[in-house]
Amino acid sequence: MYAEKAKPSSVSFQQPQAIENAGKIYVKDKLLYQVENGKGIHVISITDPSKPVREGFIPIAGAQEISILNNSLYTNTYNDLLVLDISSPENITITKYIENAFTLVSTVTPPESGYFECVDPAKGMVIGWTKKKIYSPKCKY
Amino acid sequence: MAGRRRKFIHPNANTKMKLRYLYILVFILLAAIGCEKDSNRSVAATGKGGSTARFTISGVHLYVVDGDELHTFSLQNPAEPEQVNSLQLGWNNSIETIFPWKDKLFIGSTDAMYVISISNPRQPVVEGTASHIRACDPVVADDKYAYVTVRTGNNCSGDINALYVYDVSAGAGSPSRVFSQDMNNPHGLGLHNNYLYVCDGAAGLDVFNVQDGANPRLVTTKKGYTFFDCIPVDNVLVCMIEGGMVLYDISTPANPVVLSEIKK
Repeated sequence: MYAEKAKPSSVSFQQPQAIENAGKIYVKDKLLYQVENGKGIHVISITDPSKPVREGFIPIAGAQEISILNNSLYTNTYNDLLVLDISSPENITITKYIENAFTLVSTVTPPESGYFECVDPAKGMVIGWTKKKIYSPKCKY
Repeated sequence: MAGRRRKFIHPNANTKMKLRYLYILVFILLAAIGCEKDSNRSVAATGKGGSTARFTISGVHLYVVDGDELHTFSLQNPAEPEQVNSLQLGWNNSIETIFPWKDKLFIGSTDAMYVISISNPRQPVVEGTASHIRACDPVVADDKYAYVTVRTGNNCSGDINALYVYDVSAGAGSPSRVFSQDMNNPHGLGLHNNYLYVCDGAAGLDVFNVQDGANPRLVTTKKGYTFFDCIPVDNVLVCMIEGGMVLYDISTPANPVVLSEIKK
């Protein structure tokens, strides 16, 4: 899978969305965060854990990870570190963006070894891999 | 005579008083410095992640593991982290998870568990390594033991599914394995008040009594979901399941009771 890579210009707090591809979880101050793999972060209030309330959704392309210190939320947009100020949910701001801070998504080889479609940089940046039938593949690892 | 004596005593007493004040002042100063160090480490308002996380915060540093490296970011200014270190740990995309405990990080890879010292938080160093067969392996730990699940399938090669316990009390060197038990397809785990919650995929959530960490005893298995990871927070266990989350009341740790589920 390929995508145009760009620094996100802004991040907003949106209406709650359905959980489709449930990812990693994080808990802080009666708020529960669940990553929507590759798409963003669900924010759920568990002030009453028997009645969770969906507060909203923070869309972030490529997101897989989350951690929080004070009012700063650390996540990834593909292989870039993204820091959000979440002190007021209605006005989330990006305070820092570090490009290529790590390699969470391999842009060279798929996660499983075997034959794969060779990467073509002309198509954009590799943002993930899918399994499918390919004919006479030239790449293998 | 009495007057003279008093005069003679006074300056002496004064000096003693001054010294005492000085001692008190020094003590307050030291206490203040101690507090500041403490607040850096534990009071900092960070939340809790799961055992399968690749991001974790300890003190005022963010640690990130990608396939091969441990990256350290200073959060001296939390809004603007600064990368201060990268440590090569593995090869071929083998590193998978990170778990903080006091001045250590426990890192799970597909062929080993690394014990990393962050006594110097800006410069993590490998303190111990426990190698095992190739499999995926999240870790949770306390002062004495590290609990590791190894599993195969999906992106994980190898052919074993088990819960391992390593004695990590010695610190440096290679921790010895003190316990192992076969499981179905174990993923993440969570540790809470002498109880260990192991997410055994579709086979359920296994609850172990780990009062004796070297000899976990299975007390119950909760079924009904496909469990991937769980985080104990006070008396609530938050579990990541296929399709969302489920929350349990663990005020009786041996018997989790469903509070709610968040799906779709």
